[in-house]
Amino acid sequence: MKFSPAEISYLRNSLELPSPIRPDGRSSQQYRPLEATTDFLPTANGSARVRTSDGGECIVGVKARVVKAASESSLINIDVDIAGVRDDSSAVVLLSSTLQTAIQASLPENALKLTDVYSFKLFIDALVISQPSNPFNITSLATYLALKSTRLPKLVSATDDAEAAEIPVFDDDWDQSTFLGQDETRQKWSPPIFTVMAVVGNNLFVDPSVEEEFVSDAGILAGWSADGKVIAPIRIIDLGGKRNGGLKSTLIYKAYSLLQSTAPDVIEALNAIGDQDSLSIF
Amino acid sequence: MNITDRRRVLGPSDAQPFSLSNVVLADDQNMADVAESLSDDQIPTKIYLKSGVVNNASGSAYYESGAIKLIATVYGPRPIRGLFTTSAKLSVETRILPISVLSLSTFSNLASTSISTQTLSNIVASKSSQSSVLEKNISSFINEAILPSIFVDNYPKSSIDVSLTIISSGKNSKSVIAAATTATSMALVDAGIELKDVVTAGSVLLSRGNDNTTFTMDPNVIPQGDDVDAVIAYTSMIDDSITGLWVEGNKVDEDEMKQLMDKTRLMSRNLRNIVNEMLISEFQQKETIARNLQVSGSGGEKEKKNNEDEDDQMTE
Amino acid sequence: MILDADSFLEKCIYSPEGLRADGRRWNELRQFKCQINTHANSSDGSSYVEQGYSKVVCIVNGPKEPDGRSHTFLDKACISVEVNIASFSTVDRKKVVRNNKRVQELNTTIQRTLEEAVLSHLYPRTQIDISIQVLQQDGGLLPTCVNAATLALIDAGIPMVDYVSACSAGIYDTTPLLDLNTMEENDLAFLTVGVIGKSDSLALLMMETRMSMDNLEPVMAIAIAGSHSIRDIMDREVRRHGKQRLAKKGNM
Repeated sequence: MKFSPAEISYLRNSLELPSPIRPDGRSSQQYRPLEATTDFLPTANGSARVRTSDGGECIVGVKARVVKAASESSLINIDVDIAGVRDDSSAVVLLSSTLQTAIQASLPENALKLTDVYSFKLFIDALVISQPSNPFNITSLATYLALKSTRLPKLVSATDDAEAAEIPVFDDDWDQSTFLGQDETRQKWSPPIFTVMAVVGNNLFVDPSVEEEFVSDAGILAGWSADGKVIAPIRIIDLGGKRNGGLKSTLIYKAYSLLQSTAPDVIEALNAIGDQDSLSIF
Repeated sequence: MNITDRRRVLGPSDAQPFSLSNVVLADDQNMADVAESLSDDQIPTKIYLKSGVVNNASGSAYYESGAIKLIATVYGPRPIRGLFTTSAKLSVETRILPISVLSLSTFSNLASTSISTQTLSNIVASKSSQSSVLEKNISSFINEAILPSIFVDNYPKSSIDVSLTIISSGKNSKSVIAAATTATSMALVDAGIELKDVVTAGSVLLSRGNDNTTFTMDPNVIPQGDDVDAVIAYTSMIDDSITGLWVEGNKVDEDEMKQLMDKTRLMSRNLRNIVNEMLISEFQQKETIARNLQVSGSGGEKEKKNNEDEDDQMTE
Repeated sequence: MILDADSFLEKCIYSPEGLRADGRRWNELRQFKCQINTHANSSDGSSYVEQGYSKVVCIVNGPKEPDGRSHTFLDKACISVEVNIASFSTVDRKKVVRNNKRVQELNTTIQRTLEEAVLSHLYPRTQIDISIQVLQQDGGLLPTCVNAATLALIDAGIPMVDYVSACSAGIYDTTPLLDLNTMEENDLAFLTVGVIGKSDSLALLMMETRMSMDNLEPVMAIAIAGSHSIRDIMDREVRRHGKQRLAKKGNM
């Protein structure tokens, strides 16, 4: 998108103010309104769709397959497909590798384990249909919701197959299935959420729009876990704005406090969506 | 419906991939060297830096410190085809040579255990894809860290291409990235591209032991468990602003972040001193050569002789 | 008791009582659901189509400035179709590479079908992008994509001769079966037709299996009849949406 010098200077000046004014009137820790549906694909173990008001849309499907754990280098496979962007472009690689490392680190150790030999392997496929601004936010939110709605069938065969090899057999009743990462107390696991913050002068903005990205100095990418703690990968990324110089280190601390004030609200809102039942996305 | 590859002759199904596990073992000797190169405040002091090592590139730099050996070459600014752009486009491409430990680090646990060939070929396949993911990530980090230091507006409709070759490395990827950032900045200076300042970076590994956290800058230590691995790039001596940041690990709280930044800032400052010294001495050398040439141009037998000596030296 | 696997499967496809595996009669369509203008914020035209368990989203952008020389025609608009099949769309996850020959063939087939109906000569030197996302597949991939593309083009306001509606039909012994699902597609000879409006003129006829000449006529007849009913359902949706838009305008 192209902006005129007047537009750029208006945007830049209003965002640089000590109490900044965002073009759409949001506060700096506020996300854009979004619409989300979960669990609408019967052929997937979990699925979610997130749409934002500017037309960004991401659909995530999670599928589990039984594999021999020893022959797999990783039990989680994330594949991101952004419409109109090459699969090996740096944006796609950054997105998938960030989500992969973070989800792998946060998933409880035995969540995918079936027997001594067999285990589930999760295939998380994200499809970004349209993305006016940086696709990181919606992809991460959709992945969160999809993983939250992921259910794995109940194992009915023996869990100990160290001596006698046995192919796992599952309960046909889907009502017996458990949520991914659910523990004995039926407490659900919460995957990490990642967000991109735009830096303009000394201010930081969560979930930047195209206009904000265009006048930004840089973007800070960071995530938070279910308990609201900031988690890595933390990175400075390019949002397509003019990079005039480096960022002051105080901005990194600012990012911490901004994330801590945003995280609880976002988690609460997303969990409310996840609890609703839906069969069709429209 | 069926799409199988009938055009190529595929190898036999029970083919055994070539194993390079002995290379990993051989590289363990390097560990000692690295330990030596770390001084008391754990900052590598033995650094070999040289710019202008590649003749047909606009600029280049070679960086060596302990196990890390890498070359950054800069091509450009050169014209781009297609649409008009008002500023230069920076593109970085990284290649980790297959002999470097970094591309083999996922192999290390294979040496001891016996694994079926099928498994091994799986791991080889996933390893190569992992290393290409790392290459892409390194490229984007360098791109983001270096871009703010270039006066891109002075080069409309042109591109500056950086190609980075990691010849050898320790097991820790972040230390290589820190070195690569510095080398790239040096190569840009060598290419004569207008810069605001050089960018230097430091890397640190934070490990949480019992109660106390420790910091290591050893390029051969890889993060384990809850360790935090970070590389941060800085520019401009005056306010030490951050141009690139990549922290990996699980949870990182604010205090730890502060410590990570302090350590890396110190490292990059020291590195900057070295770089600056090197730049000045190189510049002085160039200046002397230029002055000698000038003097010899105006006449005078003695100077001419001096100059000839110099030429001889250069050819040697 | 050991069942003969082959005969068991065949019985499943069409029972002597005249019922198919999913409980339909020979001439019944699967549940067809559609909606237009689903992506109002991100596209010029959009639609969502469900044909049984096949689910497809279609987005149309254009007519717009062409991407390059190769997309510029002096006398008509260039229609470019891109089908993207999600890896999670099938029962067993399968990654479909974007430049897969099969997908490219699907792209061209859809493009040629739509060129029959779109009045592309009205928009010379422009490009119309049609992007189709397949979220779930259970047979009838091609007809579902064609139906979704038609609806999205209508939503984008691009003039067309009439609806292009598509449907598949196969033959079991001597009984023609309408609108096949994956299981039936794998076992039966079938064809797909795309019909323009309520006429008998075909914009698309695709058959990749072998069928006896005697059977061709009844199968085509039922496929065309199925397409006509799909056209009616789509027409109802377009009118519903139109009324809704008008009502909103009236309120203002």
